Amino acid sequence: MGFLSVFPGLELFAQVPLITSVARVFLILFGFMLCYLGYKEILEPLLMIPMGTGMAMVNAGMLMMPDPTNPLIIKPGTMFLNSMISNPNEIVNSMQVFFLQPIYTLTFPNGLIACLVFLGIGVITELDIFISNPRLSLLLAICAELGSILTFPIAMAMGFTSPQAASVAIIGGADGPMVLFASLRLAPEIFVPIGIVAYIYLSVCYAGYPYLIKFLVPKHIRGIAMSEFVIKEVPAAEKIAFSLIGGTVLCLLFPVAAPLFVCFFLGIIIRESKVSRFIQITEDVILYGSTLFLGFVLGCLCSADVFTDPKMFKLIILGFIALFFSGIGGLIGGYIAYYFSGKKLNPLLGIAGVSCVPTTAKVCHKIANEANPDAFIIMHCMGPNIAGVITTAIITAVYVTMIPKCGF
Amino acid sequence: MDTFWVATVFAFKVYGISLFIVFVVLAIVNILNRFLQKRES
Repeated sequence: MGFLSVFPGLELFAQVPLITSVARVFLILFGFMLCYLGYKEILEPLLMIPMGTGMAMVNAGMLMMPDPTNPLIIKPGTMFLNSMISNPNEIVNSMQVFFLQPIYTLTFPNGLIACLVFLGIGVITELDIFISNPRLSLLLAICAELGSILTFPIAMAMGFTSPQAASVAIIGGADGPMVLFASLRLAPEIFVPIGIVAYIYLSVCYAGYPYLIKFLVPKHIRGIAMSEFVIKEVPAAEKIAFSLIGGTVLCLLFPVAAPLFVCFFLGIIIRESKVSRFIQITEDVILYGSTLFLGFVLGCLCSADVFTDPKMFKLIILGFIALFFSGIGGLIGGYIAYYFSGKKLNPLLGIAGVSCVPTTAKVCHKIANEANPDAFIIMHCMGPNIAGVITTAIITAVYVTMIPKCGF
Repeated sequence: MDTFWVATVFAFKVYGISLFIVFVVLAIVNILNRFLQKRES
């Protein structure tokens, strides 16, 4: 018995192709880096810490295992989960072997995890600014969807099918649960790489958008304090009425995306109804519990074979294009609003229309505050930010409804 | 290249429909705001 056979994880490095071994080492180091950047709060810690941990450990913990579909075939695998099985009998067997399989099988393919995160986002959503100035918020948010539109034809030209292209394009909305939901509905075969690319990039928004803003917006404009804009307090009854009517109308128009709409608006209604126990369980348990497992399972899905897939490289480029164009679109919207307001409105609000709640709003506030310590625009940013969630849900619903009927 | 242009037209159709729905949402908010202002006055 050789020394390496005592440590099957190490032995596997010699048994798999060199490219896979190199990719495993790279992903282990990449996982460490994500954890570190999350810990330092350079990237979003809520997602990057579980995701980085999962990514590092799943690529270390590989061993030669019998294939669940055919036990005679021995191939590299992990005890974390086998996402590729679809036969109900195999799923039941796998749930007794792979330790994350129950969470993956029961919450990912049916979109439950995305809906739970959305329910939690609803509970932390403050609608006051959006309702007190809906025209501005929605204008900025729809401009910040530019990436979701322009990425679609680019992805088609790069060889993706229309459902796959639409799933990738939704990354431009910068809303993680929405990307998961769209890819599970439209292109489940590439849901894993799309989910990984989307969540890594959403975190990169935190680090990348400041450079885009500083490059395109001069310092004196970045520092506009918006002190003339007063935020009106909106009564809870109006917010509940809006959630009920808006949610019902959107469910009526797009039944395919109804699970997302209902979860989001239910979250807002729970918040505004002030049922403290529901608020507590939704915010503390459901939102953070599902975010933890979402990040961890996605990290565990980042095995070397996913990253060495040639499609992954294209997805990385398309994810970047989607978020870049959305940022540009947001700034164009911001500049339009800036000129129409007589140069009193801070155009950074446009970037907050990219609906990565509340990351983009925090980024805009931070940049404005750096340029002018008196600029405190976080509350103003939350209006377009929340409107961005609504517009991304609408664009996702339109794609999910129209793609099966588009005929190409 | 044909695929690219067909996809571009489709994507802008999606944008147009989304814009229409955004106006519906905006109308709902505006109606609620007016209704509330009337009740307050």
